[in-house]
Amino acid sequence: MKKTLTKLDTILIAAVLLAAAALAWYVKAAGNNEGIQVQITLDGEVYGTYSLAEDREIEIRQASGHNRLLIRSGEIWMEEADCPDQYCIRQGKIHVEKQTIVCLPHKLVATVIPAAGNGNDSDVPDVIAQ
Amino acid sequence: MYRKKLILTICGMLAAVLAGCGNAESGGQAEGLKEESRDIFAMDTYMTVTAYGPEAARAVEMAEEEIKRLDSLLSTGDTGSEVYKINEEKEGVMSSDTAYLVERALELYDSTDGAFDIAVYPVVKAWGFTDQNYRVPEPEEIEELLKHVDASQIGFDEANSRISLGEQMQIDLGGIAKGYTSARIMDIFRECQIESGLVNLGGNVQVIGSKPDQSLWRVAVKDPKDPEGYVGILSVKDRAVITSGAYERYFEQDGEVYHHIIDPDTGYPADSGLVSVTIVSADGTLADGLSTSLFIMGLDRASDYWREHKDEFDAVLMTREGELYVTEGLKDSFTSDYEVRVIES
Repeated sequence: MKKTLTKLDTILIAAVLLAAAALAWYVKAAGNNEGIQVQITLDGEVYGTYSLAEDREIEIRQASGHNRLLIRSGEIWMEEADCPDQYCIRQGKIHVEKQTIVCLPHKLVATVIPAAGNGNDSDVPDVIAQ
Repeated sequence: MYRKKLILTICGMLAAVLAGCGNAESGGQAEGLKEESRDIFAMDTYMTVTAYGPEAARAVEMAEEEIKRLDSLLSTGDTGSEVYKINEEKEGVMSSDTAYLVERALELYDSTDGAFDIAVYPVVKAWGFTDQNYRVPEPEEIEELLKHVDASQIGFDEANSRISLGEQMQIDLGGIAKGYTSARIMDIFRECQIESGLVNLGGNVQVIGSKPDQSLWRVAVKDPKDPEGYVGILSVKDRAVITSGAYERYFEQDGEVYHHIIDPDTGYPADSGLVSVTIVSADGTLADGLSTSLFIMGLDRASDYWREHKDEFDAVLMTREGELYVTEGLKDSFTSDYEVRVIES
């Protein structure tokens, strides 16, 4: 038997490659959308870690004041706060790794982080100058 | 037979490629370097200090102490601070840190033709940016206050670390305090043999060495037009990256937006056509001072200033129209989705 590629070989190779491409896309897509979390700290102590894939309302009451964050459609923002400067509300919606929302008067920080076990994506910056 | 082999070979290759992806991601941690990171609230902002190495825990502890020490020395609002005392008593002998900062501030005043002026503080206060009691002062009030905004009138006796101010004068070292603090933390990191570390003092960034995996630090520059995005990424090592933007602190009144970078020449928020200036320099104090100075100068003056001092720093500048400029030294280390124009020497 001659060892040249038959038509069936070509179809097989194409099928395997296609399946692999679909799998790779799935892995990447899953990593991007469901792997992102937000970690909330109060004065440096972790208060909670939440997936951005699940809509949620996070109500935080401290002696220093009150904050309400919303997670909707993969983004988180400060919906309500009784701090005097309201900067935390102006900081808008975040969803990209390393982005933060900071409520200074309440020492509250929400940081977008990768899911546990996910290493750093090479596209993600280490820090944001602002 | 042959066909089976072919399929197995392809599958094997694919498996190797997919497995490789997973491994590559954990490369950064493979160094086995101890990481220590801490969040600190000081200097009216949120800070993170991160160090890698056997002495990382000690380095971060010392960094936090240094931040608190400098904060209590340099704060304008803290009645126990050295700067507060100078502003009250109009004269005094300074500690070595304060004296060093006053000296650097006066040098910057000269080199920037007054764009950097620590004596602008009373005007900033009148606008309410120091205590968030925002208001638009009357033109007459600004005019009156501007009479005393002139750092060249500060008496500075370097040999004896003495300072004296005019009767109506007050100073604020806040324009270089954070940059100096991050530079001091780099000194501490070096003492502790930290070869890889990063500080982020409320968006003022300084790094030592490269990342634990030997790659360069990737510092994003926030997009002033899109609070959720960035204009580009700088790949750096051993550098301070400090940005001034009109978006940091501002208030609105009668449909008008007033930001916190006050031009010492006019007494009003700087209106130079630039909306964001990022300075990249090995000198954190310089980077901090120049980020506000170049913001006030505007594109043309800033470009000229860089040409005269291009050994000391580089810059990323964005105009109100959304045009993005980088100085020549950054053209290979800055990546952006925007069209980037290079300022040539």
